[in-house]
Amino acid sequence: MQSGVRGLTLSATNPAARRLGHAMGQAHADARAANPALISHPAEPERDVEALRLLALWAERYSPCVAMDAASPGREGLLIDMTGGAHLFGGEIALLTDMATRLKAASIPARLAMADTAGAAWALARFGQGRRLVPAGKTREALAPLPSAALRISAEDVKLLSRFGLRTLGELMALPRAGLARRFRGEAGLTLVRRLDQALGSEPEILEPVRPPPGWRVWRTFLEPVIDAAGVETVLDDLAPSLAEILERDGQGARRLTLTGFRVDGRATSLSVALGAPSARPAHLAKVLKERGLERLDLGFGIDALMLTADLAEPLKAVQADLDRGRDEDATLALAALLDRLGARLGEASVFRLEGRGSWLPERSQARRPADRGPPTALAAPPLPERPLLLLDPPEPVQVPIAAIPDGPPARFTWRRVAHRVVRAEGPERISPEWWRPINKARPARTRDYFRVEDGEGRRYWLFREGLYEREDQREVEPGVIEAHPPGWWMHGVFA
Amino acid sequence: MFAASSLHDCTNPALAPRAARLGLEEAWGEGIEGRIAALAFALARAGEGDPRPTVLAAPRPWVREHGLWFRDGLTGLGLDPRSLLIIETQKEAQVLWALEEALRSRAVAGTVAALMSFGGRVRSSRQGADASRAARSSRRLASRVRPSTAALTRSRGEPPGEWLLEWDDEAHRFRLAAGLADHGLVPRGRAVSAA
Repeated sequence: MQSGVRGLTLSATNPAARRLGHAMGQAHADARAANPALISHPAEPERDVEALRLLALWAERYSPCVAMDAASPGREGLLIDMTGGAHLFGGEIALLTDMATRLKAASIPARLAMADTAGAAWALARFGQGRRLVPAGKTREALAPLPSAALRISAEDVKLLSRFGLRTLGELMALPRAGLARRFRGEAGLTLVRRLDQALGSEPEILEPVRPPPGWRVWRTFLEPVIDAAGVETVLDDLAPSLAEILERDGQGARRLTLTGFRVDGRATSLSVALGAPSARPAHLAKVLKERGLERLDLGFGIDALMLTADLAEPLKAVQADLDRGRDEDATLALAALLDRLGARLGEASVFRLEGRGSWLPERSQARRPADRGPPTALAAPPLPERPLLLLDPPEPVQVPIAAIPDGPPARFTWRRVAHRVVRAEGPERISPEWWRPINKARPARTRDYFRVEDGEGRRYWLFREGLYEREDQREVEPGVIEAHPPGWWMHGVFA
Repeated sequence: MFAASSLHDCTNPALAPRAARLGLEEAWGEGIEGRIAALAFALARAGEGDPRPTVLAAPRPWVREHGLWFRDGLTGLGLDPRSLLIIETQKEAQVLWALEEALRSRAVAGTVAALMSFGGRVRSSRQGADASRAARSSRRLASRVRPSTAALTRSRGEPPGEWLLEWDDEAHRFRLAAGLADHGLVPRGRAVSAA
């Protein structure tokens, strides 16, 4: 049930409810009055659409171009462009039979039809009686007896047509188009004529696939469902060379691979992986997917077909091997392959290079650059005073009981519960806050004075005092409320 | 255990280039300060004179305790941050896996891994080494401003010993320090004592 302008209404019914005379659009109160035992659940249109999308992905086993039709509630369906593909499944009859068998095995009730145009197939699947497979060129005859509602037009337009006495498509087809369109206000007439022409094939209709058809795809079906990752791995080893072959034929290398398994319960499960550099080497393609983890595929009760696609490809640079085996090129390829494997297993964000950023604050002076984007360009950097190898993130608080002079280095400090006596200190190196960044009055950015200090045992630390005495020792907690905010000491790194 | 070194003028077994061919090396130190000294020692010798990148790998818990790799600090050690490939993993076992993958690919000059187990040791290796095998030699380092000792505690085919090492800021390499020299309050080369 769903709520609308007419209060709660039924949005879908199951066969048992239909037998009792309930129908879509009936008010919930009326239905409950007629049948107090009626079980109803709130409608979840988003989940319906998602379920349809998953079914559409599964239907890609028949054709790369599968479109979802969720526009008319209660008449949702899939449109599959099978142009030139039916012979792969043993002809059109065998194809429809196969589809019906698989859907039935997965307990998905469905009505199937096949015709020259998407519009005709839509009409026949929903309103056709008996024969649902229209041979080429017989569309007009097949559509003629169907009601005008089979045209994918609004309920108001259907009502209007019936007032004109036009009840079947055959009666509509006989009329001149211009006169037909003029009987309606606004766009409705044009829509009606366009739908009619699309169903008859005199106007083209473009399907919008649920995901873009991949440029390169290979696949394999099995008689017995595969139920574990080891089985998938074996098939993958077969598929990778076939995909590499068609990629190589076109001079392309894959940048993004998807492995899709078609489950026996009418769902598809897929695994995608990005490659740092275009590749058409079978061993590499298979290995990257395996590193990604074939066990991540949700095989359910088993899959009976596996498809490997290159969703994204780039021209492959031809590499001529030198007499000494072109060591530089070899190393470049080997590095790209290594990065793909590391990225697939550990996550792409876990492998990176450090890139310089224009900031004096140590924690803002560098950023992570994903390794597959190549080395960063060199940033001209002024010579800096000595810096530690590792930067504590965030800086850790240090207890400083005494400083020799307020603005000077500490005489003693305690860090990680160990007390240190400072014997030498160098500094300060003053780093001002970045005033151009937004100001947070409760946590104002303050000047930092960095010191390199050495303790009695020769260990050296990078400390800083945040805040200046008498200038930056107050903060505004709330508007008008100012409290003391004494400078604090922080540990930012340890020198080797 | 350290990877490459440019200390060709040094004939000492602690630093000799011959050590570079040993494969897997291991360095360790006491406390966070000693471990960072061990890391510096390993990094200074890793991947020198090889255009291929060097891999630095560490598990996340290690990074939380010791800090993030700091570009300016690595530059100060004479490394080119652009040729460093950094790997951060969830678990320690993944570090070893990444190391082995990197070495097997022949795409990297060397690897340096920081580990929590083995007492927070730093392991580095060149091509062909098996990262999960026991290290061929082990060095203990201590951080001091003045030169102090590098102790080769365990190695196949080399006697254990101790050496004084000093870091030369200008040449970006370690050199043997004269034990009796007056290193002054502000030594020209900052000395890492490799223990």
